[in-house]
Amino acid sequence: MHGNHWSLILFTLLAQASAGTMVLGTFFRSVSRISGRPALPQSAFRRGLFIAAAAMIAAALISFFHLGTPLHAIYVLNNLASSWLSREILAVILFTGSVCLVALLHILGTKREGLLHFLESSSAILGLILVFSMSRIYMLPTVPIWNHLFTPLTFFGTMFLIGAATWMLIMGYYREFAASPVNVIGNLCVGFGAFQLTILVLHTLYISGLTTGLNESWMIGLRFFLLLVGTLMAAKVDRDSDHRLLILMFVVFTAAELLGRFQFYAGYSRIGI
Amino acid sequence: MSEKKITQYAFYIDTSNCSGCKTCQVACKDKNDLDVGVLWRRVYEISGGDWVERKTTWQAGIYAYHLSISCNHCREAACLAACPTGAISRRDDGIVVIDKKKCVGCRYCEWACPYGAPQFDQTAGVMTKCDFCLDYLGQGKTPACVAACPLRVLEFGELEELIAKHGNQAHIYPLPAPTVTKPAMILKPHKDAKRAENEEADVVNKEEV
Repeated sequence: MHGNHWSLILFTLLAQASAGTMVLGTFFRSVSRISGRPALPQSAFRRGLFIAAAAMIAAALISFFHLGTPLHAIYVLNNLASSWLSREILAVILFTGSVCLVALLHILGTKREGLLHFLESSSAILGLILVFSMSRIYMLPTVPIWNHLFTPLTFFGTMFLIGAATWMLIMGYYREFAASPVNVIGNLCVGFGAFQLTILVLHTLYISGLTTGLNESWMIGLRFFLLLVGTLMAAKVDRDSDHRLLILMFVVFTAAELLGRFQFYAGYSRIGI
Repeated sequence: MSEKKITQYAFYIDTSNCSGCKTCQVACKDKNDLDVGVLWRRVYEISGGDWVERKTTWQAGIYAYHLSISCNHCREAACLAACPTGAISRRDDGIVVIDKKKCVGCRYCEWACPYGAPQFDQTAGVMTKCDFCLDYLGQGKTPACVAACPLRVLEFGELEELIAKHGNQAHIYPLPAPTVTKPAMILKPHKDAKRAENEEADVVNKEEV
């Protein structure tokens, strides 16, 4: 793995965390709009929104560190016709711009609910497109260990898991909110944690059949342990849980995904010569 | 080589006679003034087998052959499709080139190419690769690697003419299947290539390529 992969590890994790936070936050807001019952306090949604915007801006800046000649970045949209990397960069630009625009409108106190709803929903959709295009970059015929359904499944799993864990962290500050969806978010953390565990097991079985790529079993074991611990913690938390427990759960899940992403890049091995 | 306009430049490699001397590799590095660590032409040594004990004697059952590979200027170049900046393009004569003024150095083409052709130049911060000695071709001269080979195992020319002369084999172990990128390259396989493929022989000089 060459040195600039650390910038890619952080870029992909931050971008997926941002997309997950935006997608789930917009989902909760949409549910409350349809049901007529508040799902998130306005200030809680804004916190999630600002976290998503900050994470995405950080991701975009960090991505420049993996380029040999960053000044040539002005050309990176030149091959949308065939390059998934071009398409992903377009998605980065559109998603970052969209999330920042929504954040700005909230800061300015815009009351136009219809416009806000449209932009929030658009941002969520752009976030999903971003994670999809990100996963397609790695599905190269020349890299068998990446060229599989496990890549998008893992990427979307990370997106939803970190997004849910982020919302759990935020809602820890809103215990008094009567309709707090903490239990729902906790169940989502359990679900996504179990999903990532399942994918980890199946993916390990798949790559053990390949003769290429790094396959450090201790890393897989550690990631499995962290995901299991995080999932069990998520099953126990509720609106009265100590906030330190929520922070710990977030850290455990983030550490698991960081380890998983490191393994992903370290496992790179190309066919041919 | 015929006088008519070339539509697809290609290399022919006679791996049955390549001695692995690396004169082609050195000639390329010298002509293009390549930095340390950048190899536009790479000579691989594939080796396998073992000494076999027969009663009181040992018989040599080891085999080895060499493969001189640069860029194959593929007709479905994976690097070209992958490049986000459009820095990689194909000329009318089939030669695939990298425009250093556009390359952003993301190294995505390095992942996409199954032949290891795009090489990252750490000093310049961009990807580089064999350009078929375009400047020499323009002067009616021979690419440096082809001219330098003391055993004359390298040839170049129009792909169709090389196929008519040497056949259309474009695969030898451990190269990937030619269906992946349709390389503009044909070769004559070494007599032990099939055995190497069956036994999954190793590339034994990885540190040199």
